[in-house]
Parts: sequence; C-alpha cells; structure tokens
Amino acid sequence: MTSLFLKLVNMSITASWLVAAVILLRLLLKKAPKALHCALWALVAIRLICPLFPESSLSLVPRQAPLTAESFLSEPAVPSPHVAHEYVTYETPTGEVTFSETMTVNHTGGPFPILHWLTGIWLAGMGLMLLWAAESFLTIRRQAAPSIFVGDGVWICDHVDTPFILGLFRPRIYLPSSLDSRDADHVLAHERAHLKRKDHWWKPIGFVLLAIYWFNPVLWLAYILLCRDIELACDEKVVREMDIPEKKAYSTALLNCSLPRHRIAACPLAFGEVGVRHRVKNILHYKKPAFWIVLIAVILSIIAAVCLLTNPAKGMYLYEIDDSRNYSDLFTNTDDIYLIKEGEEFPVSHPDGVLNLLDDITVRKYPVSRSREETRDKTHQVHLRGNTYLNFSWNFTHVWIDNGVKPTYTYRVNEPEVLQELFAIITGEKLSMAAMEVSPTGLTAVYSPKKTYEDTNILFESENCFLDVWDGSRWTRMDNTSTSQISTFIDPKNGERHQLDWFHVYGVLPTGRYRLGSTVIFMDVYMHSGISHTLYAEFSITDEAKIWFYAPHDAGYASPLEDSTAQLPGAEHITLHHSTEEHHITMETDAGSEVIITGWPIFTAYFHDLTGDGVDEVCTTVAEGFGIIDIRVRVYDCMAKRIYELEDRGNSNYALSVRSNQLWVTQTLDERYEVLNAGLLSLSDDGTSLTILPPEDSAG
Amino acid sequence: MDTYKLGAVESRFAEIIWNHEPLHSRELVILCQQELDWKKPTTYTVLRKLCQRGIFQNKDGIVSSLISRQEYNARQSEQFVEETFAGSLPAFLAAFTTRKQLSAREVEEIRRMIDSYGGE
Repeated sequence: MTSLFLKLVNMSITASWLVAAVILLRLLLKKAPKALHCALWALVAIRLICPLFPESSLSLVPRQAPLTAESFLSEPAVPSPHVAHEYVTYETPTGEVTFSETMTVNHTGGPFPILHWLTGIWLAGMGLMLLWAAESFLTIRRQAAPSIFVGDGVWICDHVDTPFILGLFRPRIYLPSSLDSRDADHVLAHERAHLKRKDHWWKPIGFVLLAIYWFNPVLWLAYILLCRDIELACDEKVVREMDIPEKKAYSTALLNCSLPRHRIAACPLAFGEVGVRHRVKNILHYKKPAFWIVLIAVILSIIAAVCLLTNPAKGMYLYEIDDSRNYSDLFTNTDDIYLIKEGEEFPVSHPDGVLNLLDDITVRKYPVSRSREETRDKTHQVHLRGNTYLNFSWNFTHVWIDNGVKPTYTYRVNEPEVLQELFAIITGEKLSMAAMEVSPTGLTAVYSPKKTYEDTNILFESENCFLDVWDGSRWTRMDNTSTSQISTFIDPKNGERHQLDWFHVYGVLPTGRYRLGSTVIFMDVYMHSGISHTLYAEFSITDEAKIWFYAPHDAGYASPLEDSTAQLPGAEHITLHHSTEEHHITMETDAGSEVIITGWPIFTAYFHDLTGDGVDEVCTTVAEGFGIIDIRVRVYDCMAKRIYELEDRGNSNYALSVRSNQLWVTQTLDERYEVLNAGLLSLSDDGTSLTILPPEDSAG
Repeated sequence: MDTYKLGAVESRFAEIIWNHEPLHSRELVILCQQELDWKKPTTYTVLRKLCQRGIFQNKDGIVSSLISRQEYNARQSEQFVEETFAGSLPAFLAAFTTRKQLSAREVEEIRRMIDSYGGE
C-alpha cells in the first residue's frame, strides 16, 4: 500500500506539470471550441490512470528523481556503542583495536514510519471523499424519487430547483415541475447535449480521480476547471446552430435555472450551475469557430498530447553512440580503468560497479554538435583501455568518446547527476580517509566527508582494511594472515574515527612508506546499486621511535614474545638481551653482563634518546608484581648506568606507546582505563626524573 | 410557500387519492406503482409530506382527504385571480373572453351563477 501511495504521488507530480500545460493551452486556445478543452483534460486523466507511458525525445515532462521510500528516511540512527569504546582505545597506550566492530542501520525493522502515517492519511482522505460523493448521490436520488415520467427520457420532479441528470448506464433527465414551459425546451436541449457528450461519465470519472489524488491541490483546480469547461462545451453544442434571439432565450433559461444552491453544486454526479455569468457571455459571444482556428487548435492539442503523454526518452546507451564504429564492447575487455578530473588520475579499485553504472548511462538520440574536434570539453574523463576515453563536460551534461582514431559527435547526457556522483566518490570529493597518530603498530583512520548531502542519505560499507607497502617503485599488498576486517555502516555527514591496530596481523612495521586501504561501498538512492571503491591514506613509519619488541600490555600475558637480542642504537658495542624466561633485560659489554631492567613481564621496549647524548635509552613498559601492583615505565640509561621510573605504586598505571612516530606515555587509572595524563615521554629539565609533556606542547 | 399549493408531481398523486378515497395505504402503493412507477417508500414519503401539510390524512392505514378536490381547485382559482387580476373577477372574465368566444350556453350558465351568488 505504501509503494502504491508513492507511485501515485509521483504520478500526480508528473500530472501537475500536465495540468499547468493544459491551463496555459486553454488560455492560448480561448477561441477554440471548448470541447477541445475537455479533450485536454482527458490527457490529464490518462496521465493519472496509466502507470506507464511511451518514451519520446519530444517529451516536455520534466525529468525528476522520483520520490522513493528512502526520501522519507529520517536521520539514520547511528548512535553507536563505538563512541564509548573509541575513547578507551584512543587513550590507551597500545591502542587495542576493534577490527570487527560493527554498526548497522536497521533497515528492516520499523521502515519509514512517516511514510506509513502519510499512507494512512491518504487512505482516510480518499474514504472521506468517496463517502461524501455517495452521501450526496443518495440525497439527490431520494429527492428525485417522487417524479413522473413525461416521456423521452425525461422525468419531472417537485421541490428541485435545477434540472439535472442522474445515472450512468440509464441516465434520466430530471426537470423541476416549476420550470416555465418556455424554458423547458432550452433546458432539455442542454441536458440532452450533456448526454450526447457523455458528460454524465466524464464528471464522475474526474471526481473519482480527484478522490484518489485529493492530496494534490493542483488537481482540485483542474477538477473545478473541468466542470466549467464541460458546461461551456455543452452550451456551445446547443447554441451552435442558433440565431441571436434564440441565444438570448437560451441564456434567459440558463439564468432562470441558476438560483444559488450549494447542495447540488457540491454533488459530483449532478449538473450544478457553474459561473452563469461566464456561460452567458460565452453563449452570446459564441461564433462558429473558423475552420482554420479549429485546425490550429487540434494540431496544438495533438502536439501537447505527444509532448505531455510521453516520458522523457531514454535515448541510447553510450555503447550505441557512434554510427561509424561499433562500440558494443566499450565496457568489456576492460580491466584497468581510471577516472581523470582536470588531468589528475584516480584509479578505480573495483571497476565492476563503475562499469555497470556507465553501462546504464544514456544520451539523447541526436548529437548536439557534429564536431569531431579533439579540443572539446573533457574536464572529466573515464579511461577505459588503450586510447579509449569517455569525455564528459565540466557539468557532465555532454559526452563524446575518443578511441584515438575517430572521435564521436557530442551528445547530451540524460543522467549527469549519476556521473557527478561517481566522480565525487572516486575522486574523494565525497569521502576521504586520512591516517593520524601513526605508529608501527597501528593508527587512527579518519573518514571525512567533504560535502554534505542534505537531500540524500548515502550509506556505505567499509570493509577489508589492508596495508600496502612502497617498495621504491610500486605498492605491494602486505600479506594479511588474519581474517580481521572492518564492516560498518557510517553516516558520512559526521565522519568517523577508527583505531586500527595491525600488530596481530602484520607485527611491528619496519620503517618505510605505507598506505592504508579501506574498501567502501557507496549505497546511493539515485544509483540503486553500490559502487565499491577503495580509499587510501598514506603514511610513513620513521625511526624516531624505535621498537625493540612489542606486546600490548592490556592484551594479557599470553603474548607470544620470544627472547631477543639487539644492539643499542648509538652504542653498537653494547648488546642487549631480553629473556622471557628470566623476565629481564641484560646489558652485555666487554666488562661483562649485568641486569638493567626487570619486570614481570616486560611488555614493550623502545629505543629512544631522552638524554640527548646520542645514545638511545632503553624505554620499557613493565608489570610490577605480575601486574597486581601496577604497570609502570622503566627507562635505563646505559651510558650513565642510571634507571628512571614513572610509577604511582598501586594507584595508577603508566604505559608507553607510539603515536605519530613519537614515544608517548599514558597514565591511566587502574582497571577502568580512565586516562589521567598523556603526552610525550621526556626527561625533566634537571635530568633527574621522567616527565610527561602535554600533547599540545608536543604537537609541534 | 403556500401549504396548499401542489407541485405537478404532487397533483398527480393527489388525483389518485381523490379518485379512490377512502382507500387503504397499501392500495395507494399499488396504484402509485401502476400509474407513476413509484416504489413503496416514495409513496409513503410523499403521502407523509402531504399529510403534514394538512391536505390528506392517514388514519389506521386508511387514506382520505381533508381538502376535497373542488375545495382545492377553488383555492387555487382564488389564489390565481388574486395574484393575476388583483382579486377582480370582472377583470379575469374580461381577460378570458377577449381570446375565447363563450357559447350562449356558457353565458347563460355564468349569468345564473352570478345571479345566485349576488342573491345570497
């Protein structure tokens, strides 16, 4: 029922254009027979009844995006459990990440409640209209029951004030018994003309349509004008062969029967009197229209019918564009396509969706320009293969195809908005992704919409995050041994942040140039299908914060760390050894071996020069008393043989992490991970203790 | 509106009653169906209206007139003379006789009517 309502709303919008056109034509064709006006209203009726129309390039019906259920979709509900969780992950030192976190907009449950309400109101309104019609029909029939047949389809009736016609299949003419016998002939002539014109059918049909489309005020106007035109046309039929005195007598009869009476005027099935003054004027001024006027009017009406009863032509597809060459394989045999906007290339990561979309693009049948110049507008291009380009103008309204041999003519595009959307997606105008707070173990991906689309809700699905590494000449996809991925619906109006941690998938990234890829599917109401596209965010891992070994401290004690050995950066003669058995790090020099850091366990160790002496310190996150006491930061300066500590015994935890390639320390309240302090790890000015530099100071 | 004025349709109905009264309302329904092609409710509706206007009565299913045909016609004629000739009978007669010649028998009859009327 809801879809039927939507269909009717769309049909009535289209019909409204037709009504406007008919009103305009009525004004233009004032001199034409009024019967033609009635015929024009029939066009409106046909528009309102038939759901489908032939297409024609002559169609004047405006192209419009049809109203769909999605148009009634209110703000998608995207409050997410993610926000609360994000806070935690954002501030914890190792940024434990949730690849599998999902959010979904519920499409099936409670779909579009507003639409259901509107449908209900529509049905109720339609019911009221039909009830009203039935009620007035019954009232009139009751009034007409005590009547006497006087012959020739005519009944007379007391206590009614106007003549009227009742019945569809066996219509009866009722005359008031009080009618002056001099007027009776004229009145009868009028009513018989109604019957001949089948007006007793047209008016109820008009009313039933009005009852269905009662919500459209334009159609109320149309109905009122239709009633007027029916009377005028009927008058013209009667007076066609009359001379002036006869016309006068006829007008007088009209006047005598036109006492103001709302009861009958409201009834859709009887002939109330509309605009007597207008009718009398029309009768007295009526001249049999000249043949050529009728001819012109008929021709204009036929043109109107062709233009207004056809839908805009689909035209032809892009691959049918040229006469001289066969482009039928335009969208096949294509594996590597990219879009070009003002010379800048944007690769298409998943060509299938884009090709399907281009496959559906149509153009007008006749070229707008027969030029084959190669200097035509090609602001937007789609490179398909070899030398084949689709060239779209700056506003996507025109297209020409160049296969490097013989360019085609220029054609007008029927769906420029679809192409605009496509380019917005692929060129990142719609949504882009940036990498922030980069560390060798993870980063924060920020999805940012660059445009707000108020009219539509664009939903997209983000899945399959992956990493590419730059090997000096090209991007290589890194092996992903995990099944972890992101799959989430996001409201692009607000943007999204995602903590990504790939430690479990890729381990600790060595220094180098990387890019994060995230495949999203753009679901759009115009496109009716998804376009998958991969957003990329480039980032670099520098060696500013050197990770020796790494295990997320909040991931439990099962982290499979192995014993490892490293040379101290800046002092390569010093060898460091981490023993998971003994839970300590030893420093081995020519002078022998000594334990420098203990912890149960030692989660993570970084090399970072805090003292500025050119030799890195060993900076660790360790557990004290197997974490029962606390987690703290322990730093050893191998040159000065001095140990530093950040701890708040038993009260809060300190842990190291890397953000934007810098060593960060985060102080959290035990168990609840409430962040007390976070910032760059550094030495105090006097060099005696560790401090945390506030983030705003360290930003530069 | 004059309560005693009957419309063309009502007059036909009244004629039926005057011609057959007193009659049972069921007979009236049958007569109306035969002569006017009316359905039963229509007959009853019209009858009820005319009873309300004091022209007929329907007592225990027996329909009879409160105003006889002659009385009704007299009232109609009076009203006609009143409205059209300002109540002047001579004017009415004059108008009537300008277009239509009266026969000697008709003249005699009218004269007798006038004599007896004036004599009372």
